[in-house]
Amino acid sequence: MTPRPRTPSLPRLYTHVMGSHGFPGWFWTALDKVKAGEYGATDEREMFDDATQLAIRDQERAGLDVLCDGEMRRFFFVQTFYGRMEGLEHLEPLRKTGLYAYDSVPRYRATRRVSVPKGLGTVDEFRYLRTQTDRPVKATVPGPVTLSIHIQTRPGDGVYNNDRLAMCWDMVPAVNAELKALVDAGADWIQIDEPSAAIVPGQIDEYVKMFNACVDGVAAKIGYHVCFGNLLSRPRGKRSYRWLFPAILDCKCDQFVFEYANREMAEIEMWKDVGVDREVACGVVDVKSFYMESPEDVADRLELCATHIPLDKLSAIPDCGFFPVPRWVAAEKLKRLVAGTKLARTRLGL
Amino acid sequence: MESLPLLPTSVIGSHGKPGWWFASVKAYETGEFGPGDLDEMFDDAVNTAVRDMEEAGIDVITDGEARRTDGYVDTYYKIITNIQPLPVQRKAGPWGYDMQQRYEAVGRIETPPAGFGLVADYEYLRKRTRKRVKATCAGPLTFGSRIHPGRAYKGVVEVAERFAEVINHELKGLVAAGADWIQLDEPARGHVSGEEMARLFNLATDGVKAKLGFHICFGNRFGRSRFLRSYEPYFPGILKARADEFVLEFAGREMSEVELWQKYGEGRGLGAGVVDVKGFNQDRPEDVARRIRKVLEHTPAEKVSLVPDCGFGWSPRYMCNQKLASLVAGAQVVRAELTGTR
Repeated sequence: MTPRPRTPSLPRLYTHVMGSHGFPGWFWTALDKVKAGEYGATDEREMFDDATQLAIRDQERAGLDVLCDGEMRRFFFVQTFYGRMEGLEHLEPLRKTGLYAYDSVPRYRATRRVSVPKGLGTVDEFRYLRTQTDRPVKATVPGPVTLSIHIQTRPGDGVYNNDRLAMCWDMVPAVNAELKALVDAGADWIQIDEPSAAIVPGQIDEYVKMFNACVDGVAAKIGYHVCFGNLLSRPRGKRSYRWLFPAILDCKCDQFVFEYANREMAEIEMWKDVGVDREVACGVVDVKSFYMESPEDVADRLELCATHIPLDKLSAIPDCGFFPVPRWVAAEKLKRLVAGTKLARTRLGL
Repeated sequence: MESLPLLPTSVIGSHGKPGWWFASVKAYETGEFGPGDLDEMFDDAVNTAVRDMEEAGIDVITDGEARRTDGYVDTYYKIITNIQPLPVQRKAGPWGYDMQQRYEAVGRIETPPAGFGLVADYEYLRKRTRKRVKATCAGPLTFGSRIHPGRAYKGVVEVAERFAEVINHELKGLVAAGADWIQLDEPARGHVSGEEMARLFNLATDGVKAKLGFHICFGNRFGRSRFLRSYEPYFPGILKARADEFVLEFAGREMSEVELWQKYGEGRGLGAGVVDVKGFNQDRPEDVARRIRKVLEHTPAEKVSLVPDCGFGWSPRYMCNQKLASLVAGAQVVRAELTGTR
């Protein structure tokens, strides 16, 4: 395996983000205009660049150690990527009235084997991010299971014939190529987001093989985020990491990135039994609640993490992305994350 | 009326609404529905909710709060006098609590002489089912939660005291109409202490002769919570409330603080939330049973009733029905373990 570059020097108990930042109100309004065809290409570029700059600025101001671009160019986490895939046909949502849920989401059907000929577009996102900040940055890419989640397959459909794993495997070369292109563009830290690994009841051994195929030959620090879903702040999976272990330890990643704050820190004690052989980023800010954690709340959570995870392997992060919440909630929670982590560093004598 | 089994199942109040409910409310707002159309739709929505709960096998049901257009209090704010709407500060972007319509009191808060309509709602429900029923009403703090005291009141507690009077009148009307089980819901309580919440609860329920439930949760609008998710700070002060049953959320909090009742229960009833209303993951009967067993480690079974964590008003109907079925099935599993009968 290619040697991995050194991580930029970071304080112990460093802070980072999951990826997506809250969208400002004007950005939602502008997205409606784009959808209605009222914006030209220049208008669009301006608005996406501005939104990205503001997301970066919010993170810098909050004092985070590692930033992302806020995923401001992505919509509903993965929806944007379907526009870059070939072999898909759009399906009407199953339900169009009432409260938005997993059956309200736009879906697709494969008309032939799915491919991503021009990449997922994260390389351009990363290049732009790199020009906008001097802080350490992280690129984020969804994993193959998550990329396939809104694509339907049915017995006898003549393409995947209800074999979701086969569809996921078709995403693997695209993800691997994307990661390599990110490294070529200068990324030295990439996080694979695979909430669906815990949502789609699956063959965990197969998911591990798939993950390792995705990161094969990718010379960067690799994070692996598994959560339980966050559609408009609501989870979908059974909220337990237990069943992923020990198989998930075979994933060739340098860091696990897990959610804890919204789960009352349940299962944090698991790390003692499992053994910590790599970094663990712990979600210590609840992205699904409007309650504003005090620095003490965050520090308490981190201290609990520290009783199970060695300090040189522990870092602080929100539970998940901020896409479903208002921007001010995201910005404020990031400040609390940083203030709470500072307090924890003091308490722990760092 | 059916007698209740050990570990009776109930709901918090609101039921998942059908798609046509949302389309109809919109049609009313745009003038395509008249009041008669709306009333017919609401009646049918209640019928549907009752049928869903009966089919699920819930022991104590409600009317699904299907006539409340937007959660606990918005419907009532429209008929209260001496409150004025305040400008909404944020209207674009993802939903948040800061997008809710708020009001300011400009005089003594008055309600229509006929009350809020809870009595008529109850009477309708009573005619539609032979099941045991529960009437639900927002608590005084929740009722006042989006009314700024302005110059008319000294603070949020004084606004809540006024609502305690109003609610008290309504609850007595409910009892006169035959209601024997009433639950006050206090999700939006601001930063008021447990003891103060208890005092307001007692004002609102003074002289109300019914079994009284007190539901306290951490917020659930669109599945988002709003408060620090811990009950501990409210105890022991909250125990001064003359409630027969405290109805608390546990499932969505990984059963955290379920041991609290061992310390504070004092032989009082616990309505234990054993179904997560926020997550889309379908709680299986064995998940529910496991949670119930955890509750029973700390509270005697005779004191426990089983409920979802909160209302299903912010959940799609299919999800609500799946979860109600699991609630009932999970209760049956544990009941059989305890008594050998289902």
